[in-house]
Amino acid sequence: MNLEGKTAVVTGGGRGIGKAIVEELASSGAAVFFGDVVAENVRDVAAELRDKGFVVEGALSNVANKDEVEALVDKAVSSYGRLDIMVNSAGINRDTMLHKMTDEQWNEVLAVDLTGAFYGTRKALQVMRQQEGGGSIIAISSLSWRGSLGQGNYASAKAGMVGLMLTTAREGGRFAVRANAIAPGFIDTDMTRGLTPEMWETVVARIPLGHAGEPADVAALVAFLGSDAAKYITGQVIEVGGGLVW
Amino acid sequence: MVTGAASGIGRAVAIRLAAESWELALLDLDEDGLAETARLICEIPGVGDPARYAVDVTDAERVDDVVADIASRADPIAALVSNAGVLTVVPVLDLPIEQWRRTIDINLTGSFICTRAVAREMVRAGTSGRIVTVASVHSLAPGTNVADYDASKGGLLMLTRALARELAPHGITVNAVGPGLILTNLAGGASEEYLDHIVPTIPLRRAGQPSDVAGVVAFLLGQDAGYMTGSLLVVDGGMLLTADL
Repeated sequence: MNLEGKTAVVTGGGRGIGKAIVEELASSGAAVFFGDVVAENVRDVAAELRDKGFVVEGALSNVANKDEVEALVDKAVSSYGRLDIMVNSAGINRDTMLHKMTDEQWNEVLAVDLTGAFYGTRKALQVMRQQEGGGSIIAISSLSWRGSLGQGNYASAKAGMVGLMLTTAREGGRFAVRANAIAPGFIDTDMTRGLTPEMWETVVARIPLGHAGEPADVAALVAFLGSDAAKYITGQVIEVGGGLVW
Repeated sequence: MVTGAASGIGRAVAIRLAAESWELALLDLDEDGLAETARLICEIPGVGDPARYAVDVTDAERVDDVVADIASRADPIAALVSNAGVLTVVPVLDLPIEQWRRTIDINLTGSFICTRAVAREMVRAGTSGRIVTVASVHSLAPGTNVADYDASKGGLLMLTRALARELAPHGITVNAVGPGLILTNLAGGASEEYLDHIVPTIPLRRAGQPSDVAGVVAFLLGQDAGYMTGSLLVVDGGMLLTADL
């Protein structure tokens, strides 16, 4: 994908899918500003990608804190004068069955996964509505937005992201602001590596393509949705699951 | 291999893929249209004349022969864009059975015939491959006075998903694009009145161009979409969110 001249912000860019997104956007020519809550990851990812010659800047940023998300966008806009691609990728999980779920487990996941995406989306809209050519806002949701065992908090947040995205698409359309969500299936990250080998095999057996996805498989779709090739696509939930039906 | 390549989305797809250095075989009933597509492709610097076949996609024997011919000429067939389709606007109460059968035959059965032929060839050659069908927003929501088209495109989406499931073990991915209101001959039947009414209801406030769809097809055929199968990529400017088709 060619993203030359575009400016992107990625939340949760320090590892896993977020990191792959930062790398994919940067290697496609975009200037990328990313945030993460782990200082070490921020430093290492920024250094690694800059060594490759990419334009990447990292910052310590917790999306549950409005000011930190907005500061990340402000930094991108003050450096390049615009924001073309906003990727709400920061997410956590606190899996447990609903009847045992604590208020803290619920609130923590909603604060990061959903409210964090709201902060990022609102700020991005404020910038993109005002600029020539609009922009592309991309939510990293999950196939589990349709409900998922032991993930009542996560599934609710990821479904909420879809509602947020659909509203963004309606409200942003007249300003050429596009909004789409990606629903990754079973992707090989630290999050899924937490499963037992038996659980891992059980899920993989249900995937028609026969294997878990890579973070890069998701990142490639982000780059596409951020590019001009996707300029007539808005309001969509697009699955990257190797055919996995959730 | 691109079907319905003589005009509209099929032509735009062919031009886009040629520019990306794909070697092409173009199919259509309309030989003059195919020649024009070929002429436009030859204008791209360094790109040669594509193979052309006058084919009715509902003729299974002919399609099988053409696929065999394409496979014998060059590298194994890497990708199929099953695009050929027709649209006519008639209220369901007046819809003649002949028109119903023709629409289903071309849009749905024609796609089955082409995807089956190419998938068989891919499996025989032992190569992985990509198939993209051109479905529609009408795969998801019915329009007005296009019941035959709605049914054909709804069926085509399910065919796409069934193929994705069955062909995944062979390393073949199958996805669909779902164009909304795209300015082609197919939409040429749409009245000024309809366009004036519908375009302001589309969130992006414009009708799409064939090239808007072609870029998405190219993405689905490329390396970057390798873990996507059985998906529908809607290219409608947000039309399904708000518009009354």
